[in-house]
Amino acid sequence: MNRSGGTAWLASYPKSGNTWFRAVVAAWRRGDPFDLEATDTIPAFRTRFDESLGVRSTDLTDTEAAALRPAADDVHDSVRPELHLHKIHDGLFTGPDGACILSTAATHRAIYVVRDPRDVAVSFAHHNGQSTAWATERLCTPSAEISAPVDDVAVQLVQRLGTWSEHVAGWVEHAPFPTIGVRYEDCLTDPVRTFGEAFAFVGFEIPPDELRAAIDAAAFARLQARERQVGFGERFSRSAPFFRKGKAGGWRDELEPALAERISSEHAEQLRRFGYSLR
Amino acid sequence: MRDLLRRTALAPDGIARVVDGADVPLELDCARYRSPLIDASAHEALMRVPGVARYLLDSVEPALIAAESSAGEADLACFLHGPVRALDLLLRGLFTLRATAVRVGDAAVLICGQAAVGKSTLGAALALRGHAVLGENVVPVTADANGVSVWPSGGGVELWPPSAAQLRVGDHPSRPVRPVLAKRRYELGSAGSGTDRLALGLLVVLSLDRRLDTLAARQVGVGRTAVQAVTAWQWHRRMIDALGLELANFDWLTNVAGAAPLIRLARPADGFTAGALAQAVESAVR
Repeated sequence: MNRSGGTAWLASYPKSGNTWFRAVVAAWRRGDPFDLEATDTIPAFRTRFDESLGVRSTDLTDTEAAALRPAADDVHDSVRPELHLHKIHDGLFTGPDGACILSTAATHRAIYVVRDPRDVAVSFAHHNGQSTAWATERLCTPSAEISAPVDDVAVQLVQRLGTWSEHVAGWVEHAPFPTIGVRYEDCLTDPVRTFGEAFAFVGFEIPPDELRAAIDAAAFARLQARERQVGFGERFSRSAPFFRKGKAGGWRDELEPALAERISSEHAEQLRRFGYSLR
Repeated sequence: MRDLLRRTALAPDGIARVVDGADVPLELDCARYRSPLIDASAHEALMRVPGVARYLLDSVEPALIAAESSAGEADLACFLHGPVRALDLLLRGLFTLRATAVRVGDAAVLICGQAAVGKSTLGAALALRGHAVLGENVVPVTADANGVSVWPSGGGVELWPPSAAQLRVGDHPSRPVRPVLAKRRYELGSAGSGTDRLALGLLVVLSLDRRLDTLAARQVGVGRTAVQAVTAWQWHRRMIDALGLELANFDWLTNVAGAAPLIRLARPADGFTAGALAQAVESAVR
């Protein structure tokens, strides 16, 4: 029995498997082949905000817009009668008015996908066309955010990430709604059980045979092949594919030891919480 | 249309009035549509912009504004000329698009697209190539016995500093859109005060596509696709059913979508110029 309505957040630090989850859901709902680009937009997307509230976010300061984001969630949720899974990369901080940056009224539950931050650093660097040192710095910077350059405007509103540990703790420890933490690595080794538990937690009861078919349809090699054929809109750098390797532990070959050591040291508590080795 | 637009403009151009806060309610008792920022019935609407003002509209009085103490005239005008104007026209059964409108040749080109995708920058680039800007943000479009018409709604183009720098318009007269924002309204491509409505000649939907290396233009067939494209950029479309405007809106949509070719113009994230986008629009008009 599937739950009838509300927003279920599919949250993660960037490059942690969020798109893979969405691909599996899209394959389950729409069959194979599915259009991953047709899945729902993120809440920080300015057009979604503008359309929900009837004002232009570009007429608002970042602070004014951030304070109104929960209201935009409420409107967006109110016109969607079915339970919907929404991608989000924001850290779960409080907004300018001290309230949650999301609408807790519109929120049903959340899935938080966590991935070894050393692999995240490598993937994030490739995604942005930057060095692994740059990515490591981002993972360790409290003020890290996704934003346009100063005095410019981007198609997405500012999204504060915080450090990788703050991001994890915000969603897994402090969320004002039920959240399940799911390891990307477990999705690789035991996909039917891991995806199935996560989806069931938010209210999608997917029969095992349907889930298996959806996971097969959204296999990494197929996502890669599709990106080669028709591209993928979330690809940030023209030089690096969005779907690059999709493996666990690649950091041991691709991340400089000093950077790996820094990440392990600064994020030891959350690494231990999710059963990652520190070395 | 000019008289209608005056209802949502401050003096000396308009007749909207700033009034005491007690004269504008916090919410409308009789609203058939309620959302966090807007209450509306068939004849009355209230828009709340936190930190700026509450705007009250009805079928008789011009806009009444209860301003917050921190809001200046530019702050009030920013929303008054934007969503409040669109709301006021909707109460009168007139539909508007979120677009930049430019006169190219004898016809109007409407540039629609996602927020912050570059509609105004493209409008400014066209203005610098000699075309008149008919309006931006809220563009009234009517469909009647005279055909589908785009109405001038005020000149100038709003640009953020990087776009203004790329277009080299720093020497043109400009003023802040709001003091708290870096974007400015540049006096570019004046249509002249005597400009009347123009027939719709081309609809452009501008998008960002990071997969691309260069610009890509594609004509979209008329019919359902075109109707969907127009619907997506309507102001306050969530309110239309609640205000009993479904049939009028359906009629309007089908007329607008069928009145002119629709071009999807996709731009890459970088490696292109606004001038090249403008040339693509000119080519499509030809």
